[in-house]
Amino acid sequence: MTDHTVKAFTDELEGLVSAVSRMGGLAEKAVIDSIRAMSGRDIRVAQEVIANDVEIDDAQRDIEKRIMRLLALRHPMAKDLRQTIAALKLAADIERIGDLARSISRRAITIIDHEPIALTRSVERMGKLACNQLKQVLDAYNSHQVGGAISVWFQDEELDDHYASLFRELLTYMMEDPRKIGPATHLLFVAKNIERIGDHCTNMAEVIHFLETGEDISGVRPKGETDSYNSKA
Amino acid sequence: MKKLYDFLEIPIIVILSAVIGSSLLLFDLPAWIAISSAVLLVLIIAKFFKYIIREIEKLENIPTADQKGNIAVINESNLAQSPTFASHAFDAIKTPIFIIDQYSRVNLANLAAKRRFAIETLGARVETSVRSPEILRAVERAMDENKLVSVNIEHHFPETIYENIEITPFNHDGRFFYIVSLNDETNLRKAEKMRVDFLANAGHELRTPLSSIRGFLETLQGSAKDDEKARERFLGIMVTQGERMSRLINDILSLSKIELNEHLPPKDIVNLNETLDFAINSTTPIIDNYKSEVVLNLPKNEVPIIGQADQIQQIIINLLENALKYGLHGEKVLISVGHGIDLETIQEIGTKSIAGSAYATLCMPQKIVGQTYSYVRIENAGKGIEKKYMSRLSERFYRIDDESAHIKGTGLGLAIVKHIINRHKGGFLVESTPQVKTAFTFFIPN
Repeated sequence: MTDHTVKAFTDELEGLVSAVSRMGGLAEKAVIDSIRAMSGRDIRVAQEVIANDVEIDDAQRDIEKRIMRLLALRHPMAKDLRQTIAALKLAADIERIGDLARSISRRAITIIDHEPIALTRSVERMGKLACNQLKQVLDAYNSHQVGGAISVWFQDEELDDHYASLFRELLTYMMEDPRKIGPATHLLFVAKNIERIGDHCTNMAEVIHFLETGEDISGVRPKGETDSYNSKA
Repeated sequence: MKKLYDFLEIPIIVILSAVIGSSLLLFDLPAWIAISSAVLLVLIIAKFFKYIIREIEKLENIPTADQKGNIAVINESNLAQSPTFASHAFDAIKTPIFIIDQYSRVNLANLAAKRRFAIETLGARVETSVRSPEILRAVERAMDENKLVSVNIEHHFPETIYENIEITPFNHDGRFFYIVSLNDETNLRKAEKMRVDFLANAGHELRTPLSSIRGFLETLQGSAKDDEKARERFLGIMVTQGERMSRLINDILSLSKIELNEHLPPKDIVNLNETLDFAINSTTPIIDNYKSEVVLNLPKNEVPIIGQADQIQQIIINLLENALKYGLHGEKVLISVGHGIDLETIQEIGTKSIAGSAYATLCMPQKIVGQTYSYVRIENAGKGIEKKYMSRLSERFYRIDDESAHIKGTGLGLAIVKHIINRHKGGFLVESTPQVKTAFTFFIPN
């Protein structure tokens, strides 16, 4: 970060960036733990994720306050402006990711009540893919590497594919045994939430690309969801 | 001795110059010549003394052996002469350690910490490289209370790591600094957890052959007691089931061993060509059995990779055996090797070289700028794998249903391969066109 004549400005910007990074760390842990709670059938971990979501919400409020103050007092320009706006957008995405992790944990608690379903492993793998994307995108933000952001942007397709195939498998599963419809539906929602986490990572990748280069990621945003809409299983 | 000399140096020079100068004056020389030549003479003598003293000190401070017999350099001036000594020593410590100041900026980090948290520039806020909320919370607590904080934390992604974190405050020039050190306790905890997992998975898998053996034994005890023909047949089946059990146990054991070391990166340099040769030689009986042939396509030069030779060999053997077992019998298995290639190119080669194929990434390393890889690609003609099964291939005990009926296997082979590759920080790709061919590609950093 380049130095400003007013040192307090530099400090505030740095404080903002590290607050976003820290918030990212909280969400990252929430996602990892929610997946772990589901696959490891660990209610305690799930409850922790739900309880800790407040912290992520607080972090977002704090970041918004900082941004408001920064905009009002410092009138940032060029990269500083991009940095500020990026923080605002990233915080919103991260907050949503935190909510999704909380929702996964809620469903995990219900899923744990039922007999284990073999497809949980598949959902877990999908979750790990999402964790990897989130980690990569946060790493890209911290290390100012545009390459990392671009690679996340392209990986979204993989997650969508995974979701589509899981969707079909779960449908088949439910048709085979109607008694399993309850837990299988919860699992389906978990998968959907994971897929959304992936979407938010893609959003964040776009924001980071813009922050670092000042340009949009060109081309069409990868979208592979259509499969699951048309699926007849 | 040197200290004494340093202390007396100036008075001695002054007195000696005065004495020699005044004695020279007796020879009727002009005063300035007398004084300057005296000073010059004394300075030369002083220089000479200094030299001799330094030589004596060197002799006195020869590295001496301590009680354990290790040679230790005890000369303090040696350390002072080399300002990089401390930082080299710091970097050599395998435990990640970094030091932050009271404004939570990373002031110093050793190599292990830099690698672990991708710290590129010192002086940045700790949150921008360390995101783990537990570590940050512990740091904050240490800052608030200004005393040693020690916490146990666990990370679950990408690998599970258990660590003990210690934050020690210290004071320098009136400012507070905090040493953060992360001690790996994974092996300890993993061993505990592994016992539980092992019992669950292995118990389930061993039950099937065991209940089959028991069933046949009961039949032999009862209705088939005197039936010679049935007895022979049953005994044959029982032997096969027994073999299956022992294969399973071998696989499980090697998998758990690999998993235990998964987060310890290998250090040896392995010659890939040589390892391939070994692997193919030890698979010869199976190759002959399937009346198949291996076609090798190696680069001319040696291919050095960072890895553990027998584990790399195991990857190749597992993949080659799969290629033979699931491929069309009598068809050739193609093995090609490439060297010094970046991640994107390998992905192209590993996933898009069969036209119109489906592909999946089974394992992918974290991107490191400038890192090159060597790859091995094992391709066979055969039934192929459908896209929907691909991402599950490396799962433990996973077998595509229609095949498991007649092909021997434990469902652990690819899980083992994936774990080894994970440990080597490499990647693993699969590509296939159903009814045509399948290719597995793995790559390891150079």
